[in-house]
Amino acid sequence: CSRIHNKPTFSQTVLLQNLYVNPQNSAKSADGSHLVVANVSDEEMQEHYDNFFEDVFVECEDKYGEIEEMNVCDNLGDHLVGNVYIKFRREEDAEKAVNDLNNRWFGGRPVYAELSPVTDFREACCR
Amino acid sequence: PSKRSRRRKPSLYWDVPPPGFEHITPLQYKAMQAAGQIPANIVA
Repeated sequence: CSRIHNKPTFSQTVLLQNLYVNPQNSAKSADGSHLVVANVSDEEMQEHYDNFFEDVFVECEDKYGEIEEMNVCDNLGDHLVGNVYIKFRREEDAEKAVNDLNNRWFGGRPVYAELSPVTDFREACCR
Repeated sequence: PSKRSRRRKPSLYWDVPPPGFEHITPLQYKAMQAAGQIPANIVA
């Protein structure tokens, strides 16, 4: 991947960079920036993920507008890990969401939101 | 057998600032990261 991604002016899809922090991934981190957490079970992982997904989905749909699709990236590439893609039904809602989310906290970190050109997640591939 | 409510309150994540940075906005925080005043990758 060239990392040169188009940043559209209008899009239904919002990208929230590195929003999801996988407890298993952070436990594996070797650079000393994460605390080592002992044994996160698969059940705890799933519960953590479910809580995260629901929290993000419900909040965004309530605040910004109807969501058609939401995806969370489980890719370990550092520009992809934990990325959340939310496709709104309306472009105006996506734009509103980006503007507002960029000035909100999420789990002790600022949210990094931008519009994404992806509209069909089955076709999305970073080359 | 899990029950699903439409809204679980309060949120575990939304609007939780990093410890010690409660007094600034996320935009100011990102500006400080960009300026190298605080590390870019801290995970709370």
